[in-house]
Amino acid sequence: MSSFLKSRRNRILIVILSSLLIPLLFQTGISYILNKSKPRILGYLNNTFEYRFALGNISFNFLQGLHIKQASVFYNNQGKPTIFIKEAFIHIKILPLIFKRTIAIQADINQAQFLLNKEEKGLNLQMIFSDIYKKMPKIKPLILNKFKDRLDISIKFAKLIYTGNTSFQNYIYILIKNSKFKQESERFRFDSDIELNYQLSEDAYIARFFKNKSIKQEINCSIQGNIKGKDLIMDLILLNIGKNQIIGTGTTKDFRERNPYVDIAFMHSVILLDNITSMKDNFAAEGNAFFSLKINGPMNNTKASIVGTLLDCNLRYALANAESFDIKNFNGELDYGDTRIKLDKVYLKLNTVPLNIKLLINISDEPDIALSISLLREFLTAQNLPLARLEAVFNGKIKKTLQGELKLDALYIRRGLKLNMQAYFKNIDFDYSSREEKYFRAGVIELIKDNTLKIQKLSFTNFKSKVYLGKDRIELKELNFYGYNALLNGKINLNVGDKTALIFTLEGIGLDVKTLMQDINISNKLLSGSMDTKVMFDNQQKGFLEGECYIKDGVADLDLVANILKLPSLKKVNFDLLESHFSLSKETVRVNEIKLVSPDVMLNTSWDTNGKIDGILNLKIASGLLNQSKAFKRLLALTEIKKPYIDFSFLLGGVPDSVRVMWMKGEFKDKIKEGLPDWAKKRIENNLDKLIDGMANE
Amino acid sequence: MKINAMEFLIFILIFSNLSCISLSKDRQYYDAMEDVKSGSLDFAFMKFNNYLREHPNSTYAPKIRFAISEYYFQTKDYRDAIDELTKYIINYPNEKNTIFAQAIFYKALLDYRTEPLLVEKLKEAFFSKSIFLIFSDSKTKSYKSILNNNYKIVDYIDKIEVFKNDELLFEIAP
Repeated sequence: MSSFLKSRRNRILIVILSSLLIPLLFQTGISYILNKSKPRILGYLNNTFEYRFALGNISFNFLQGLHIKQASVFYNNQGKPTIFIKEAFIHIKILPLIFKRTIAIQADINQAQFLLNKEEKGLNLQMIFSDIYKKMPKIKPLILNKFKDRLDISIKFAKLIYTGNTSFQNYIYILIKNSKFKQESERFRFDSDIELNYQLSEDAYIARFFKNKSIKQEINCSIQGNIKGKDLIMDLILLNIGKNQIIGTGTTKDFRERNPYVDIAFMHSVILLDNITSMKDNFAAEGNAFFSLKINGPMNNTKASIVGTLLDCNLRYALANAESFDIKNFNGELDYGDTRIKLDKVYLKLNTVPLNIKLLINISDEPDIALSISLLREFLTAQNLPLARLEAVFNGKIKKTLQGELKLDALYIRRGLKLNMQAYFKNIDFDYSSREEKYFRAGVIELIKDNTLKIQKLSFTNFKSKVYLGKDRIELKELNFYGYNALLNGKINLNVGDKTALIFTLEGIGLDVKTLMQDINISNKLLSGSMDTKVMFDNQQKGFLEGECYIKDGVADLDLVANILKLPSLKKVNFDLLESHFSLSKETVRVNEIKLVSPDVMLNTSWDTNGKIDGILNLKIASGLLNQSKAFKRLLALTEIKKPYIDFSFLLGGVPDSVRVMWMKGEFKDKIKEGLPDWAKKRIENNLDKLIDGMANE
Repeated sequence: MKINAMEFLIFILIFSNLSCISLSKDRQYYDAMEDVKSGSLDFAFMKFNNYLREHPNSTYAPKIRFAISEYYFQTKDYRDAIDELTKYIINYPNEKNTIFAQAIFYKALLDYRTEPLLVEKLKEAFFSKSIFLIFSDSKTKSYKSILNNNYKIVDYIDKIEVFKNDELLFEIAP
């Protein structure tokens, strides 16, 4: 024995050093062998599983087991690895190594990335799992030991990125944090923090509503279950969203197959909207949503359906360009399925305006949309609007623009009389997604008023306008459309603040009176002409509608006067100008003045009608024309009147559709005698009375 | 042409039968009218009703139906008055006295306080025709019913007055 070994201290030192060095050497040796064998290992993996594998570094230590760095699995030889594990430690059982079996009992993944994609035959990750799993029993199991033994997998941080394209997301990814999967024999448990992330594309319309154009939600997920034959039974699925808990159960049938069938159902649960991060952060959402969620279908084509109720929800939003909404007391039923979104029995207050809403969207690349919005009658009354009903119904498609047909339906009640008013906008093209300035076009517009006795309508084409949405307001500018051989233009301003204010102005030049009167059906007395008009509406004013019309080179039928004066030629009077000024208030229709100027007749009339007419009609008729009537010829001969025109004055009464006309004898006599010398007046007095009485009897 | 005795006899028989039918019909009517004259309106009402049952298409039918309606109205049997007047207006829209039936109908509805919408519609009907008052401030229509009631409708520029036996029944404005 050498002197060195005689020392007890040295022997202890050698034992200690050896006990340290030998494992270190063993460990280094195995690591060296493993690294040397890397091509063989990869070759083995590639050949066995028929996927391309890559491995950055592999080493071994007694405490942590196999230490793997930058391991990758490629699906279909794609450039980017479908599975990329930056660093992992795999604990293996030592004893089975003697029998050339590798049994892993624990895998700790520090960082990983998975690229998920929908393939025709399944999800790529599931297919990799299925293929590897099926091929494992024929060789020595590497990681999953038929789930018969104990296995722990932990993932500190992983990113699961969905690479499939959807209509408005740039990409969807899920962050998996502090995830633990534990399996003992047939039982398993999975706990993880999950963060869902939807990154919306820049040009997606809904992106403007979300900060950083992303939707995020953190969920704590816990699943417990067992394996029964070919199926994975999830006895309990627990999702914690904020303080809310959603409980469900589910099954993955044939879970080892490439495209297993998933069937998960969550119990009817309540969730507070302020627990949904994106709703809270972007819309200051409050309120409750009661819902049940189901997810089922083949793994590559699962369908989600939600049936629920929204209760007293509040949402608000304001964009920099003042496009904003404030929704309060949102109550309604939600039904979301694979092919449709349905909102029914919705009541809400949009910027203080209470609305009933029904919405149906059939989901496709260009979704069909059916939307019905109606205002509550109580609101109409409170706003002092004389409407019993106001409803908008839109049916169309959501493309890059909103296309379809819009119907506005109102029931206007005036003095107990019901007027159905409808506006149809056909072939609509609304550029809803533009930020500052949106265009609204309609191929055809029809306005119809029906009081069961008569139908009045107006038809226009090529409606164009620019729409500006702001806080509590909608403005339509540069509005123009064609109708009755004329171009009309104007603007509309709707403010829905504390008081609803609707203001519009409309101007048209050269409207064809004949076709206009046929449609508008307010008078059959205007036979032709060319009309310039200007109309102003302001519901805040007592006289909410004011307007003026100028009809040039027209023909009018003055049959009322013609019948009274027995002058048939008045049934067709050519006039140079007919001028009319009118105003409407809730109580009264006021025609301030109608002036008709023609060579033979000059007419001036004005009346008020509050359902009844109260007015006066002044006429000047050329003496030449009056000579066509025998009675007037006699009258003019008797009085020897040389005046070019004779004045008439009539009182008007009755109702607009059947006017009562009174011709006052005294006044007419005065007008006839006007300008005559006293002796002439006396001379004709008796005969004038006889003539006038004769005219009355005729 | 020679008419033999048998043919003559048949002719006489047919003619006399027809005359008897006609005379009997008129007698019923005049009997009822006698009751009207004597102030026995209840008997007259019964006889008019019997008459109409037997001769619903008689030329007297419109007058009698009007009288029956009047009887109901006078006895404040508004429900039957309204029913009868409704039938009258529907069955005889073009009779001269239909406008007076409308007037009683309107008054019955007002008194019975029912059908406010119908009252409005009737009101509209009174003003549904243009009227020209030439050198006069009113136009008058009148009707004397077989119950000896004088009805008058006076149209003014701004109102209508309805009189029964020179007593204002009601006044309406559009």
